[in-house]
Amino acid sequence: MDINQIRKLMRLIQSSDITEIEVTEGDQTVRISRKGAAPDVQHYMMPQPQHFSAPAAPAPAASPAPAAPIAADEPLHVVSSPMVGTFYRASSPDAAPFVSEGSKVKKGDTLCVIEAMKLMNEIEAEYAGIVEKIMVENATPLEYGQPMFVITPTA
Amino acid sequence: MHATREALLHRLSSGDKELSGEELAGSLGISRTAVWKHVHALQAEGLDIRAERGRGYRLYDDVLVASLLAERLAGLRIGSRCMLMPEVDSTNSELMRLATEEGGFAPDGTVLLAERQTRGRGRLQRNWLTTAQHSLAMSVLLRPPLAPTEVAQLPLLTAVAVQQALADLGPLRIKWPNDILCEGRKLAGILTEMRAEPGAVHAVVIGIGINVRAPEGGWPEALGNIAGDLSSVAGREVCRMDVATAVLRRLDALYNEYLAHGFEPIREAWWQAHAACGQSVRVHNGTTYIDGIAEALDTDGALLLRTSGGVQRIIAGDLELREKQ
Repeated sequence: MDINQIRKLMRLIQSSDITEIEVTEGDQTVRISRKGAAPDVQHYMMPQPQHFSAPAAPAPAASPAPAAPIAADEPLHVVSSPMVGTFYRASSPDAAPFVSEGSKVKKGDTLCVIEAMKLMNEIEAEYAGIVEKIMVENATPLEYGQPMFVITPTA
Repeated sequence: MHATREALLHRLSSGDKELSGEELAGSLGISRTAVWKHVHALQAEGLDIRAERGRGYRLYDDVLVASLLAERLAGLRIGSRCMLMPEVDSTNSELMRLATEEGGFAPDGTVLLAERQTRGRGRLQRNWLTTAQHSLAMSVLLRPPLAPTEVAQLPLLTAVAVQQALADLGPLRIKWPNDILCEGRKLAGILTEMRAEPGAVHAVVIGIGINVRAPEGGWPEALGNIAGDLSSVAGREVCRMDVATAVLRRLDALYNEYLAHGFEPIREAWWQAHAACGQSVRVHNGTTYIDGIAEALDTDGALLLRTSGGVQRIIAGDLELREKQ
């Protein structure tokens, strides 16, 4: 598993309530557990795959399939809230929304603003992609780690 | 600004009396003729510098000088770099650009002041009026070792800093989360912006706008009943550099206290200064109005509102005071 995927997993776990996640791809398993603030990464090889995070997926036979998408891939495309706050789709009540479903975004484009105690947190796209789904209504409360967008990366 | 003119203004703003051409020439390492020429150039820019025969030059305008502010904040985290721009769209926007854009160099503690803002703004892009000589518009960049959730306490902390720094001028109160009021009129507003990703805060910019004097010809009609200014409250001319210095020093002290001891001491000071403790308020949260009694400030800075349906936590919205102050 390449380092970028591990980094994405670390971000995912930091932005959620999950304290531990284990992902197996081919003959490699990565387990990330959170003890305190910083995620703790263990990366190890296994002679035989033992865990599969998607119960529906059939276990690969003897030959590993490195190209196959891993089951944990799906949640990586979710943009979650880094804080408790109120979700805004536009910079002001009169302005056009930053993005809509179907919008193409570039890395660094603003997706939304989250407000808490008049701290305005502008959330930017971390990768280029297409906004598949907006999961929160404008001007409604958000919990920590709550999914806000599904954005499919463009290659 | 021309470096020599900046140094000249720095000297002229430092004292309350005339400085002779000879003293100025000596301290700036230039000739008396050069001093005279620079004074003329500054006068041509509109500054009120008067020459008194036999006594020297004296500055009568309330001028912002970045190097003087840096000197007054020497050794503190806030003010590690001080910048002044004659005109920007908004000090928050400009400082965020300096902090985050490609090659963003601005360090922790950078302060940016501007004489004029063409697009000064508040919450949800509402306009904030900044006029030269009458307003103080400044932004502070922090790169705090905090989680995004904790950064949401910095707006409240900043309100306490402004309220405490200027308390000698009048009975200032805070309206949740961070407006500064005096007798129901708003004297100062604070808008804090952050760039962060889960687990990592890149930049926090705290914008502070303070009405030091009423605009010439008075407030625009729409603001006539809701805006106030420090000089009117104090009953004397208040100097912008003194206001900036006092607020930023207090902010530096409270921020250090916060990093060392957390939000609790700040929370208590905030509640002491709140304009509506135990009073009836109305909150517009973007979708509806909620009426209730402002009961307490929660441990994270949310306002606890007692409503007919129980206690509600308010994390964002406009607060309206329902009782006369």
